[in-house]
Amino acid sequence: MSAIVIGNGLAGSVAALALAERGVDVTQVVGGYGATALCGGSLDVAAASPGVGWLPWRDPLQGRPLKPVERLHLLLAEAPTHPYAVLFDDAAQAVQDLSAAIEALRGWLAGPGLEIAGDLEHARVLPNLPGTVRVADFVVSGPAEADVTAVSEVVWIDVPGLEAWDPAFSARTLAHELEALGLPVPALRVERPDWPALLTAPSAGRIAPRLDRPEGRAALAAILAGRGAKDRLLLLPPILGVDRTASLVRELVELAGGPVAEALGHAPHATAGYRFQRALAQATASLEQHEARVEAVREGDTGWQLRLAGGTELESEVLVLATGRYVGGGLATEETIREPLLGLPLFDEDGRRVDGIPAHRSARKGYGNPQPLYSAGVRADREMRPLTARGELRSDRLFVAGDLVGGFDPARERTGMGVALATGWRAAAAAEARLGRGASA
Amino acid sequence: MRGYRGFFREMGHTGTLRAMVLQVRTGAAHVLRQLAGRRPEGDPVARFHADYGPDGVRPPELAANRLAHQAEACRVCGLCTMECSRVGGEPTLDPRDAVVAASRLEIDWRRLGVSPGGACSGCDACSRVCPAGIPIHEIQDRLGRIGGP
Amino acid sequence: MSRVLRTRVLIIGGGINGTGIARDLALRGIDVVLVEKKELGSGTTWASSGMIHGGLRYLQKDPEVTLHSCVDSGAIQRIAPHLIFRIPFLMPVFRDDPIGPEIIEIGLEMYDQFVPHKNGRPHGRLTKAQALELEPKLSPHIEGAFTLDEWGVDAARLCAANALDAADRGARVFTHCAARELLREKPGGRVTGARVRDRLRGDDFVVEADLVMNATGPWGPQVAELAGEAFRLRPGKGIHLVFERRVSPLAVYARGVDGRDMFVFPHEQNSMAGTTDDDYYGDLDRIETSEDEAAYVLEAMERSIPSIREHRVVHAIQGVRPTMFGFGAYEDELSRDYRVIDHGAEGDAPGLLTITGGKLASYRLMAEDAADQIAERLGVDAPCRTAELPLPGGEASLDLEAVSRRFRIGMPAALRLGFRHGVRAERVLAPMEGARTPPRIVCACEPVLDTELRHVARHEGVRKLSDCTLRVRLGVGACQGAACAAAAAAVLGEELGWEPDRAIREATELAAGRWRDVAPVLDGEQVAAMEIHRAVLFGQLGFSEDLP
Repeated sequence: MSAIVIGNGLAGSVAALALAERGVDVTQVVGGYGATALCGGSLDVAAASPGVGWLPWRDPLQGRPLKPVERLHLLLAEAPTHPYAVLFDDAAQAVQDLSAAIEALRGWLAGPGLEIAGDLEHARVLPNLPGTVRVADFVVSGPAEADVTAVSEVVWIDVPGLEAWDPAFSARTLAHELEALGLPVPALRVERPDWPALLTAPSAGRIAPRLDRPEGRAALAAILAGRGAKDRLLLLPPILGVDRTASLVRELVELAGGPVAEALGHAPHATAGYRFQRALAQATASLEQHEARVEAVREGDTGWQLRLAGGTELESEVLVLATGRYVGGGLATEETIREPLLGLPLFDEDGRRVDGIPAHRSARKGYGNPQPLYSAGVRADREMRPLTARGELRSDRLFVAGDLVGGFDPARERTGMGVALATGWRAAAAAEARLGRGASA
Repeated sequence: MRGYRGFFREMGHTGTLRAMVLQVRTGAAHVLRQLAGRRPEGDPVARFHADYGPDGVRPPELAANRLAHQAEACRVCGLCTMECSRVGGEPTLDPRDAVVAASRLEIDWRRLGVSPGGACSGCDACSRVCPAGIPIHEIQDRLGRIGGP
Repeated sequence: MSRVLRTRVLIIGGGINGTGIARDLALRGIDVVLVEKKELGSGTTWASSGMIHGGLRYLQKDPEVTLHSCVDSGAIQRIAPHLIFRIPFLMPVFRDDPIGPEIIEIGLEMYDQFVPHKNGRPHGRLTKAQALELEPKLSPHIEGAFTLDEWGVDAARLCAANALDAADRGARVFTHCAARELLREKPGGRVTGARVRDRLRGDDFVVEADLVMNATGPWGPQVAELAGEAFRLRPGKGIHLVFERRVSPLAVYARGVDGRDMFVFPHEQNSMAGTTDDDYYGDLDRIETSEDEAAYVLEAMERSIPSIREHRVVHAIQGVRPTMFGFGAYEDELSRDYRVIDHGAEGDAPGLLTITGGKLASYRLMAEDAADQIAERLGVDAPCRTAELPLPGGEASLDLEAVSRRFRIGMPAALRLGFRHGVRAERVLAPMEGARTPPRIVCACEPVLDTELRHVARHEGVRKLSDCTLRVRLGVGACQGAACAAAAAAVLGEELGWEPDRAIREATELAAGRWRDVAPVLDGEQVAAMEIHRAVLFGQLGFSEDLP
């Protein structure tokens, strides 16, 4: 029983790890990082958040943010082309699958020491670096405990010299946002402690790794010691380490005497996404991995043959494509849009074909309008097997997962991570089932 | 006949007397010079370098040009900076800035102040995480060699 | 009661003509108010090729025009040395060119007699091998090439520098203020000023003036119409494609399928390719690049540089030329001449003047001519001094290495700061002298420093985040503001006292504005870059309210 997974983002890693756990002989083809490494740190499984999306993010009567499970219900009812609608009969099944996938992911990330907080029954209101808020479902170590509605006081800690950030303005924006959204507003202020040269750098990504090292941890501990309180959140820019964040945060919380967390970052300062990607890389390191570009993919009578740059040839019975969209390279864009490995047909969320035409023809006026270009991807059946233009199975040994699956726009719906999780999980289950049926099927 | 009338169409419609005089004079001089087989002195390429070198204009070196072309793909995602920092790199020029600088390679690189090596260890970690597949370490290496004293 | 400002000359329009005239008048000691409905230079000026050329193509019509162009190019080099850069041109020769190389060379030999006035070099004639040595990207089908040179300029910055100097000398400059009515002495009588709407505050003020100068370029007929005056333009739309970097250190001539000359040329840190020239009948406030315009430009470039499509186009810029009306001619053959219309003599609106036509390269001469006419009408006998006195920043040269060391900024930041602000870069950085940490980089693509944003807000009258796109090139790099929009809005917001919702709206407008310029030419790597753009600004940060 052998499988090749192409892709090392969340979808590819989940598929590879799930297959390996089920006893399949997995080979993972890995490359540069993609969308997973650029996420802000929250793994949102259900749509909607303030400002974005067409689904409500809060209960109109009670004013509280909707629970993830409540938003899942709404999404399944309202978005027929969304991968969830393809994957799940109803919300109960979605909850079951997503919960199982998250539990498995937590287990895989225990080794690298990254934790994932959250559940489908509770939403968290987290601050973005500039002070706007996001309703988040699952969150990686670092921003996990930054729920600004859970404390009565929020203190932004200034990190001098950090580019692209102004703590005073972030604090004011956060207060304004919470008030405008009708959420409780904690007391907000900025503290400017003496900041050591050791932790000074222009970008968060340069500081974070220094906090993996003992001298960096000691320096930050000295700054935060005794500064916190039980009901007071100490909020930092996304600098809280890369490979040891969970233990670092625990240590800082204890020393500070209250919650310590970082704001959600964004590219090019998406430290938490990078941290998450690093943890996934460590979790999958024990699998057989090849780091090379895929040059050719061919389906034979008994399975797949891949040729990698450098000449390596790989073979397997089933293939999982989790190559992402544009950032990940899953979709190529020179002159026209296409899926470069197998030439799979691509569709936007309204079911229109978008492959073979120039990208700009699928770009609409209006930045915030639905953009066919950015909801484009492969169409798949419930087992995550890609469909041809006529809606037939391309191959029963081929599976897709993650952003490569079309029909939804991650920026508008904020479900990119949830889809990666759910499709990666399902693709692995379906691929294993196919392997179990063997050649006779 | 392609020639004089075509030039007229190219440059405009009405020729004033002044323009006519200038054209006839310059044209006659040109023809005489051509007949005499005389060209302006020196190798035109050398003269080009002498004329425009002081403005910082250099012909693109092929290898540098290839790197600059690859650097064009940068999406400013910041992953190279994080990876470089994680592996303990402290290059003179942050990898992201090196990529940005490389894509302007023809203009200003001598003034970037990158010393040879630039404290970049050449470990290649940055390139391996780059979503756009840019050979960042090669760029660092090149900037280090070019920018040095 | 509206606020009333009293002045001698009201200039409507803050493009290169309006600001050039404002500076000229201010230097003559004439009191000026200038109102611009958006940001300085945001119309035709921003969409220009940004070239101070010597007028090669006017040689055929009148060598005098070429002489004036060259002399004036030299003047601009003297007054704004920091804002200009030399652009060597390669003019490839093809077998199927409509005119042969000898004829071209005669033209260039004529030009050689004028270029010393603009500090240019004589032309060169290259064999095919020599040309390919200088630019290996050139087509293998060329037969040879000529070289010449022109000067590039940051046109938006040149515009701002003129306005700043005018303001330094007493002129009052209002951006985001639109003239909504022209005031008359009595119905049908003399034009005595304008009622102006501050588009950001939403209130009106009145400017009373002895003369009103309509310098609104393609919007000219709309403004004249406020006084019941009609004149005709033949607006010509032009687009440029902006590449991620300098495709070549040289400008290269290219020929369109219809025989028009175009170029791909260095512009700022990028290359631009263009331009087109097509009659425009659409909405002047919503000009967009179309698919066929972009395709037309790329096709032309491909003939000279076959690999041009491998280079990343980041966005397009588009604008409309205020070309004077002519019937029966092709767009390209229309004169780039200019006129000052006296609506008293030619119509029924004494007190109102309109300047129209022209080109960026001759802005100073046009302004001088217009200011002469205004001064004469006002009875002021003061000579033009705009050719001698340096523009702000051009007073002296700047030691970039020293600035880089003293203020702890990298050379890329120092270079760009020095380019935009000249010797005044020291003034921009002065508040950071001895600060605990060096200036923060807000936009890494350009780069732009936080202290520069604060400077333009405090000392250059910037009122909106999107103004910074023109003023300091914020958000026009590879990421189109994904990395910097939020941070820049925060810096500007602190400086200008914005409430957070205003800052968010400003960042959103910047993002949406960038999308408008990118979407029509979205292709290749830029698709991934805009995927990040949307994920960050729209998805992560939620910048989505009131999207235009």
